[in-house]
Amino acid sequence: MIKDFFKPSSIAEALELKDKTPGAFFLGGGTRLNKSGENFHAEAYISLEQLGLDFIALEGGVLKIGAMVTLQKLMDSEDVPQFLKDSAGGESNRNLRNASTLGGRIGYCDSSSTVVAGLLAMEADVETARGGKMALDEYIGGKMDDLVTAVILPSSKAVLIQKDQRVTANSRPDLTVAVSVLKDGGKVAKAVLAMGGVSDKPIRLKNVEARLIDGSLSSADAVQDAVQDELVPYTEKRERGTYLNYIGAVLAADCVGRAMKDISGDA
Amino acid sequence: MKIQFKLNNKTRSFDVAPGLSARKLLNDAGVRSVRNSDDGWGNTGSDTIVLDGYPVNAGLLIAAQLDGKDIKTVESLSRGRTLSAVQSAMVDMGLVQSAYNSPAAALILTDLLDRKADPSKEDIQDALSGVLHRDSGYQPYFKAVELAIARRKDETFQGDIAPEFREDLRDVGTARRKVDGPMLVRGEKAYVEDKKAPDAMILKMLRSPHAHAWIRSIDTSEAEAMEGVEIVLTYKNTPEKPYSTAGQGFPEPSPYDKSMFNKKVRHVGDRVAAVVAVDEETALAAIAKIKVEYDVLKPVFTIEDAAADGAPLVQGGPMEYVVGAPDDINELNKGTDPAEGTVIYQFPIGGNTRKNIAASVTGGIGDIDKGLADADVVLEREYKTSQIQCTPAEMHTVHTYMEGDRLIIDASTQVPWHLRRIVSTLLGIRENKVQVKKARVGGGYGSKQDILLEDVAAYATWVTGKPVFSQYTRKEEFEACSTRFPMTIGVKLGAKKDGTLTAVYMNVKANNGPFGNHCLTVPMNACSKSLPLFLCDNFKFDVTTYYSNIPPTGAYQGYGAPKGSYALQTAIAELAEELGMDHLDLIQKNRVGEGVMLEILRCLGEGREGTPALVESCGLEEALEKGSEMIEWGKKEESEDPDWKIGKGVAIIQQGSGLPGLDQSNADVKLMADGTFMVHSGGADLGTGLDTVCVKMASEVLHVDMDLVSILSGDTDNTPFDTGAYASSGTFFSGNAAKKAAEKLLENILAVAAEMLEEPVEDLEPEYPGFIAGKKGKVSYREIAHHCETGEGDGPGQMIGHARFVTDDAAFPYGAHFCQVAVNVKTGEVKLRKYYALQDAGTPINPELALSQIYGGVLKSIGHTMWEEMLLDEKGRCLTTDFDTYHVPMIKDLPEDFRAELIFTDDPFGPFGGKSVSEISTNGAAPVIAAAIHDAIGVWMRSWPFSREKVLKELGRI
Repeated sequence: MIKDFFKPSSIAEALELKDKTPGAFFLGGGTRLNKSGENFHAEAYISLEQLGLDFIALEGGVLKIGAMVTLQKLMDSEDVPQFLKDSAGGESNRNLRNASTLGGRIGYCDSSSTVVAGLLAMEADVETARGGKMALDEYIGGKMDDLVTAVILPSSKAVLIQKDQRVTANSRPDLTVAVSVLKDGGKVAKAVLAMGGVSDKPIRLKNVEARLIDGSLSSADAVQDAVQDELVPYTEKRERGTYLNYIGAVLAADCVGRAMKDISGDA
Repeated sequence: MKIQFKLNNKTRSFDVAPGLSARKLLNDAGVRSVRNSDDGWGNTGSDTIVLDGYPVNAGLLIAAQLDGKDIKTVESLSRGRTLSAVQSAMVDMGLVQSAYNSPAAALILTDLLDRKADPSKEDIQDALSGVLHRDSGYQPYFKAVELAIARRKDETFQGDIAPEFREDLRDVGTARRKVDGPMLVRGEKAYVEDKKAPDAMILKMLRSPHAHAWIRSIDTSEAEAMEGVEIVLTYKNTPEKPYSTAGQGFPEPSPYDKSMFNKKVRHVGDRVAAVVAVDEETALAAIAKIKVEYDVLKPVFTIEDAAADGAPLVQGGPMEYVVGAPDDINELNKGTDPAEGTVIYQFPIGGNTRKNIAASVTGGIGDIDKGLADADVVLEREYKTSQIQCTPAEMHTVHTYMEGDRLIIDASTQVPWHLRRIVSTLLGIRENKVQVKKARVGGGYGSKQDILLEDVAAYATWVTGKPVFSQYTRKEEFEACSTRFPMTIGVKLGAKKDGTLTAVYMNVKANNGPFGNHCLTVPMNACSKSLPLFLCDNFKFDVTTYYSNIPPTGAYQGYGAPKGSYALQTAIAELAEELGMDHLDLIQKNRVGEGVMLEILRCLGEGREGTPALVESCGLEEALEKGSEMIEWGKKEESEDPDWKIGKGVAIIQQGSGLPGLDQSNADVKLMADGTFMVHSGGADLGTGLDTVCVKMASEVLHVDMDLVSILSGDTDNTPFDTGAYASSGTFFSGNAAKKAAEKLLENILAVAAEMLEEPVEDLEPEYPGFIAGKKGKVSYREIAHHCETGEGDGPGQMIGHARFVTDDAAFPYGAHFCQVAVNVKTGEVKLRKYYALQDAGTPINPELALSQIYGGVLKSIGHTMWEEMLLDEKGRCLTTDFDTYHVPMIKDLPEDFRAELIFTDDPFGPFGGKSVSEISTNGAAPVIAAAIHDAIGVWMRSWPFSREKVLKELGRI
């Protein structure tokens, strides 16, 4: 039962309200907090609407996106790379995207969130209210109790590919894979393989990433095998684990293969 | 807190609790068009508003979030009774059937066209991606947008709406606006929820957490003591009178095996208690105060569990028969427990509750053993289907109240008369004390053929005298509604080397769930709408329906046919492979056609002997010819990507048009004082356009514009009896009744006109736009009405034509579905690249609505085939009670190339040659997709849904 509704005009005020109001939640678009079936037992909302977090700024090749930017506004922006638009588009239907905020998606960090997996592949940083700037990977690996105020995307020439497996177009993905590959001098200089749907939050498969860089995975089958191996601890006890393990590896190998092809210019 | 916002350009202020749902606030502010289909999950779009220029779900906002905002609802789109370009295009394209979410779609498309003057198909799909629209299959939206764009530039633009049939007729066979379309797309008051009295009590149900248990004790005292609680109902204070929820013709072929409340609960979600209170919060709080202790019993969930020796009995009470009790009834009833309640069969349908069998029947023609012995090839296969929910956008809703000593029921129902009979019988009151008023139905698809909450609300009103309103939650729709039966269907076919069928056997085992509503007829339908598609001397079928503790089953569009069709048609496809024949050639060799006498129907009646029927019209030949050209049958397609394999499939389908020999419809047509007409039809328009059909019948017979004919339907006080809207009966039965009533009225009018014109009746005929013309002169309907009603004080009285329609003649709709799929052998993904549905609806009375219904039916059944499935845990709890987890098709799931075609035939028995159109559309998807997948990757999908995981398993990948 929401007893109080606050609309602070500064981040400091918002944090202060949060500290002194038990049961209070920050409110972005409300598509999760207000959703039936989600029981947050919230007693108060602190609206983030008037904190000036609804911005998209591109400066010196660095893209900064305010946490209150809705997924649809993000998709409508000319400054946002197509890869991230597609990641956001995979999240939900348009009505929801019109209300759902980027900060909210990171805050709730669904297991198979396409946009979080996509941001991980892009090696995004987040700016938080108390802790300042940190890698998204680090943020979602921690307590996630600090308010995300913005997402920062560095300029990159990496090739990005994302695929997911879902029941219907609107279904939450069973699994999503986002891959980033940066080549330098004919070698893989950097690789990120993010996967959602196999753990409680999207994860990075760092063993596979390292092997892509050291060149020990020379074929699609090798990538698939390596991904399957690294997924075992996540999938072995999960319902439909065999399926998730298999499909995660297939999609990952496909994404890696396509990224490599795009880099090499192969058709 | 105080909030202020602009609502449709007017500033409104409210003092609200900050957490109040924005949807509820808008409803309370008089905006009825912002509706609720999913309790605020954001998956259906019923609650769409435009907030500061963006369509969002009001159900996901709290009131405080509206403060300072600019809000638009569908009411902003048009002034008064006009329609905007988008709205008029939607009405013309038949996107206003159940129409529960049509206002939301209109609002969203308006936003889209404001953003993009010429949107692409993908833009339209993305804009509407959050709107559930089950009945129209989304496809007509693309053309509606084209129309809307043109009408925004030129409001007089008409455009090409739909193909036209029957040039000899004015309205029948030509697209005309659905008579209730404009009001529905404007979001006006139309549904039961719009009729709720301000002082109506709210009824909420406490439901069982156990699949099978005795209620050891129930203590409602704390709940009853709460302020605002009017009454708490349990098995202790409600009638212990067995009944069936099935809205079928009396005596029903369904056992009476439940009371309003039972001491034994038989599924998770079964009724335990109902609380009637001043508001929902109080009712829910009171429910939380009810103390229940259960003795949990071992449940049975599968057919195998239910059929096992020593299986727990779902219905352990004694059996009774109204007629035809078996000789060993006393033996069978030994050891039964009367506390479980009596199971009453109206007549024998092969039930044996001691074996968990609700119904069973066997039948056939010829000699199946001989047919199999004569065969060169014998093929035996088994197919399984899962439990599917109807998911109407409007959840089950009822409003009951007293007027004097009469009980009034505002209902969203397909069966007003069965509802009245069942409620009055259950309450022990006479039918003259009960009136059922069918509101517009926001989607039924079979689930509103059952009496699921009306009985309790009616009883609460009857005993308290208070108005009562009750509406299911989406979760209740899954746990306590009617659903598609899970079935296991064995098929055995015998054939000669040249493909001639020598034997066709179907063994249907159905999982009925806890109650026997539709237990005989749904699985029988799996045979009766499948077997007559093929010509063979030797047919046999066995049907057995088992009680279990899964959520209840019942009617769903297509009834048992989609499952029977899946099994038999897929088996035929498999037989073609066995024989090394082309699948289409095998179908052509054995299929039904015009002039065939269907002897098999003799043993396929609904609980009684059936009647053989002659196939008077059959569009299969043209459908197969045209469809095979469209899909380029025989041409093997190859993908450039080696992971994707392409295949094609075909299936033939049929349904009935009502139940000849069982159904009855009645109608009256009245001449009004100014020469206009009023149709009183018993038919229950559940969104399909039946009212429009009946109006067209009258306008066509009387030679007047449709606008001069109005209709009242589905009101048990004010319209005559009709069996109801099920079994594809609407156009054939209710339409024929309206036509006959208009003809009767015309006969009466002609007699009066003959006197007025002093000419013999034989010389008179109706003349557009509203005259009776003779050889010497003519007289208008207005003049005739004036003469009849007033005259010189001695008029003959108001002209009224009444007719009933009953028949033993059948009008079978037929169809052929073709599809092309691409299957990814690595991921198991199946893409529907082409889907062509070619259907013979006789004369399509409303061609635009017919097409819309074909798209809707096909897409629903694509959902069943590919994605939808109710999943239960080991305790029988449904895990898929929302649209996050239950995957219904939305607009982005459409086949890439999706086409419906109407094949014209002139049926001698249908009204102006019309047949049914909607239900048949659900019968093709499963077999045609199964066949196409096999053509692509060489595996047979023998259980639906054809999930990616199952495809991968069939391929041996996992």
